[in-house]
Amino acid sequence: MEIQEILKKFKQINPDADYTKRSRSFIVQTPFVVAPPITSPWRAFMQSLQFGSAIALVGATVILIVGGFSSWRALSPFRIASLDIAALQAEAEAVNMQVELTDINYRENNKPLIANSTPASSSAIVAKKTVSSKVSEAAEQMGLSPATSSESISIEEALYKLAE
Amino acid sequence: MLKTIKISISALSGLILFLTPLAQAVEFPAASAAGTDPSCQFQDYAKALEEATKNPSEDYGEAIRAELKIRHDWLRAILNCSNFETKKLKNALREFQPNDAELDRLRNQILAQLEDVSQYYDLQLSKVDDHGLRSTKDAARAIIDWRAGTHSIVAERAGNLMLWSKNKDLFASARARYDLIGQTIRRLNLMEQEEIRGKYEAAGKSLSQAESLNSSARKLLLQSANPDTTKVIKDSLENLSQTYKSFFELSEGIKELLPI
Amino acid sequence: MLDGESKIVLKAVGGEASAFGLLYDHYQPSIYRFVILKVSRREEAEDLTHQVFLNAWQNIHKYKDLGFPFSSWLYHIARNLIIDHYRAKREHLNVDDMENELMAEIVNLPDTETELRMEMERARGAIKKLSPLHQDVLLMRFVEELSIRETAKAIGKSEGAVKVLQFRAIEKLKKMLK
Repeated sequence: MEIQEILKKFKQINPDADYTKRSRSFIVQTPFVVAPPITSPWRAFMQSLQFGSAIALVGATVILIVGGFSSWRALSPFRIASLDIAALQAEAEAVNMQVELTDINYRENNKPLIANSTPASSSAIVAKKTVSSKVSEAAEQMGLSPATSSESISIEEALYKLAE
Repeated sequence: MLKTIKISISALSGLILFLTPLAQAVEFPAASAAGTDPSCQFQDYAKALEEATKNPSEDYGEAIRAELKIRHDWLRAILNCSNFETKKLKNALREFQPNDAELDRLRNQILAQLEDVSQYYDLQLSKVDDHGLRSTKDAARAIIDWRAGTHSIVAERAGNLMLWSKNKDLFASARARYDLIGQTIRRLNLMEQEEIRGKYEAAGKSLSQAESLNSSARKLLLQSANPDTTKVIKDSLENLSQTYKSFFELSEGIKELLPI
Repeated sequence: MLDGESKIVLKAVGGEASAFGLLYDHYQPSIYRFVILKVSRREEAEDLTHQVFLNAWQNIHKYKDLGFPFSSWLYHIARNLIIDHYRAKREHLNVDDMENELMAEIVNLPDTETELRMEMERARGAIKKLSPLHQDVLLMRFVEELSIRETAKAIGKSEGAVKVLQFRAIEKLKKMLK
């Protein structure tokens, strides 16, 4: 039997019914703790740093780090070989293409959960961009592009529909 | 002669009778886009399932059977498509030559893991017909989780290996370009120009940073699947991109200083 | 997730004990299972599970629904309590006794064949040899069937890290059980 299936069998372990009854009864009869009033902006800020809000901050930072590319101005022709514009442009484009391929690799293998309407994980945000045919071709050669075409339902979407 | 004709007619009839069910069984797949497989077109299944659930047959048993058939066929298509996806990656990885003993070992390790991925899909395929309505849903959910937790990790690592290896040439070109530019600036006696020197040093700094990140990316790649690898690869490339921005700025700066 | 969980949580945060009771009913078996598979002794598991929900009820006024399941918060509390529990324990634990208590739970499972019980015992023994983080990911993902997102929230790691932890944990477990 596969290990994952064996682990699922542990789900049969359950707490004792009497213990559950006593514990529940005790807890719900415990007085509810009311939140102390907010007396200062600092306190309000500290209270806002709840379980989860830090994730939003990290997410925003990751988006800033992960998103965007630099662009540069087109320059006039220049005769010194080491600074030959055409050669520099070709090399810079090759770097740019690798960045796009890296994004494709990341995006295809870190798809956000789409079943829930809650926001995607902060670590999974690389916006889908229109890629050039050159990049598409390179992605295809490396087996990075998805098996489904962009117009059709992806494998994940299909599985979610089947799971509904 | 008559006997020959009779035999020929029987043979022909037999052939027709044989071919007819075959023709009915074979479904000619729709034309597929480049790089996709016919089994990866899911729209029709989605429509059929929606139709079956919104307008079921009045015969309850028939309605269940119809829905179940669609679900089985769709699940099979998804698994075949997943296998196709895995095969594409395996082929790309097999053709790829790392020219490095450690990376070659890693490549073989990832190929073995992709083999496990294929076997998982094959196993799921073998179970499709055993599923009832509810268990097709459970199976779909389990496959979602498995893809997220196993397939995607292996696939990303395979992609990173190929990407990192291709990046090596870019780094070599950039370093060669940087050295050449340095020689040019010195030959033209421009290193004392503060602006030129500043831009050249900036290019050197981002290039060193890119190379350092590239080196870190290799270490992460060789570790068992590390979630930071893709980010470090991307950071190294972005630093390289920044280096080329500095090269372009240098080019403009020198052009302004020299009577060209 | 519980049906209509957001509304129930909101009521519980507002002080409705009956709403918290619903959350207790839904999540207590999962938390208990997670705890007992970590600490192995029933009495300790019962105490700790009770403490998880008591802490949750006493701190629920601070809880904010940010789109994550309530269970992630409960698992977060459970993990911290288990860590504190092990730190606080000074006496030497008789590991065999711990194992025997958990094995008794497995042996007494109804409708479970002998061969399966043996496999479960072996698996349990192997899981115990993993790091606490690997154990947590395995138990949350495969016993309690939490999603990667829920697990990430519960253990305070990224989803990418959870995927890798899960992958490595399964690989290690497979090697140990070969």
